[in-house]
Amino acid sequence: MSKRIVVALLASALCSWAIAQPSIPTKPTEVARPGGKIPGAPKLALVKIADGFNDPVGVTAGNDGSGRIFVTERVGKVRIVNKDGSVQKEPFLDLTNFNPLGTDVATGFVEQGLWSIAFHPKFKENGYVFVHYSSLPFNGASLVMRFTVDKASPNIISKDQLTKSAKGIMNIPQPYYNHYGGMITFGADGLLYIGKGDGGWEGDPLNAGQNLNSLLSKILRIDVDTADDVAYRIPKTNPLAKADKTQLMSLFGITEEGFTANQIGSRPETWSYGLRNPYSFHFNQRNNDLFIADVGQNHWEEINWQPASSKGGENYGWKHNQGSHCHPATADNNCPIVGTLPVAEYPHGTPYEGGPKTVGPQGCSVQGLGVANYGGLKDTYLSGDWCSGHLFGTAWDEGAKKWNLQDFGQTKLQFTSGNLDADGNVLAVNCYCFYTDDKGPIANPKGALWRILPAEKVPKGAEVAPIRQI
Amino acid sequence: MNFFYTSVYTSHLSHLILAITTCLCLFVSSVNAEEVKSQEAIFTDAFDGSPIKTPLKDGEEETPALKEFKATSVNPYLGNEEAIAKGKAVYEAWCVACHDVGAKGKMGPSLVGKTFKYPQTANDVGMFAVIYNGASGAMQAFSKREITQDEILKLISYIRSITPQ
Repeated sequence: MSKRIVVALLASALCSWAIAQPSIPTKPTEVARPGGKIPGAPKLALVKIADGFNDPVGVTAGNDGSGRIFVTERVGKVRIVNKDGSVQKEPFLDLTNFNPLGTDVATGFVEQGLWSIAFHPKFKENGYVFVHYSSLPFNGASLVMRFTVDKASPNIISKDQLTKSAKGIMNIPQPYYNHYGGMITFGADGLLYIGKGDGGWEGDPLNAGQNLNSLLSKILRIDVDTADDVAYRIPKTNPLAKADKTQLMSLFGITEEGFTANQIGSRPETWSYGLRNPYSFHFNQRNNDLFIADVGQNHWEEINWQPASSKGGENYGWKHNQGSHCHPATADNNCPIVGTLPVAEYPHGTPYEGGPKTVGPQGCSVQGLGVANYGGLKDTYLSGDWCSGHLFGTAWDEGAKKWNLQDFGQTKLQFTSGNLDADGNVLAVNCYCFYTDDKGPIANPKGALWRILPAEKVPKGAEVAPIRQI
Repeated sequence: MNFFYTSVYTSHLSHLILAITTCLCLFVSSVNAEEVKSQEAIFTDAFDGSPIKTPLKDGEEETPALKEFKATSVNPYLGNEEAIAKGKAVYEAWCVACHDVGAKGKMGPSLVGKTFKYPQTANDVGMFAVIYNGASGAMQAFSKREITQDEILKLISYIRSITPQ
């Protein structure tokens, strides 16, 4: 084979590879809605791993080869689920009683509590774990803290160890008691990503969504590999990394685009913005793409996607838009699309105030669970709705060159969060906690931990969650 | 022995009467749905139609109204102003945030009118089952909460008293 033919074949392969990349919708009609079918997708089942959790609202698999799964309970505890499904009686981490003054976690409203735990990429060597919660002593502020696991006590961080090893990473004052965001996780770049909501009330009264001077309404990205007396560092490749640096005035000799890009005074922690309440977001472990489940206002839930090649800085449009629609949503839906469109969206009970009742899959609060690459699913972002119990999948269809949003059925579960286990299977947790019947984080009926598998792979005798197709 | 034969005879007679009654009920049910309500309540899961049990919680009283409802499928509180007022209080405590004022639907579906997300909600036994046993997502089983079965009946009487929006 001549060199010329080899080069041509390589070029052709590269072109095919380039074409095979999903694309971000450029108009609302390209945004996927319920009714799609993901080619090759199997029927899915939720297999119970363990139950008895107090308001489980987050889950993370250990990255140390132990097979342990860590479930965060809203009250302020982290529980270990062992490989055999048994749940350790003593919590791994307990923020409710290390201080004689009482709990460190504000839980008065159902959106408050301990949301997530993330393990440092080198956890096995350094023992660092990071948590994100609403702090009672800081009047409900979002706190990101680091604790160090004592190697002599790998399953329990004692009160002494917790106090001794505590390192404050970030404290974000919270104006209202809702829309906190919650999830934290490390990217393949070794940086910590933090989902932070618009700070609450409804309709973003502070205009946090479009305010680059605020840490609210963002995915934040920070470098936590710093000296103990330095909370964190701004990664040089953050899109607004230099925005808070003192600079010489540049007025002449710089284009309008140039000084607009400076964004002087913006928060350099910003990775992307215009998000209402990104409670959960997940990287695709196969290719490092990022999916964000952004909880909507009254009418639309949205799933956003960033390719791994993204340099950050995406504006997802809140509060100008919710999904591909106007905010406030109206019948004529006549408004500009601000920033980057989501790849998928689904409606609440009506698409706008006074609009027709939604027929078919719907919800009111999207919770991302994880990206599935197994059982016939590829690069498929699974999400569950906290209100309707629907299980959705979002994926790019290379054959049809479009995004699909497939409803895998309706469950009885109130999904709160999810993540991958050590084998790459998507996990989900559900609570029995809601706005109206919240009796407190330890008084609500107990929630459970589930593994999502192709229905044909359900182990014999396993308990599965009922799913109905509508 | 005599007692035995009498029992057998009685048993055969009972079966005959039951069969006739069943046929009659089936016939009547096809022409008059109201008659069905006078039958013992059979509660079913809104998800898959499987039968569910409705045991009382420890210490929970089986009120005369609840007993009558389970025996006849008829909610004795329908149209009872006092019960409706109590049912409204229950609605405002547990239901209004999702189903909205007037039960016209918001995050949760509408509970008034003639079309229901779960068709069984159209009758009181079916609605009782949905409230007691839950349905999907945030519509959880209220039997796990601090609400009694008697209160569920009053709640239903309130919802049924609302004029469709």
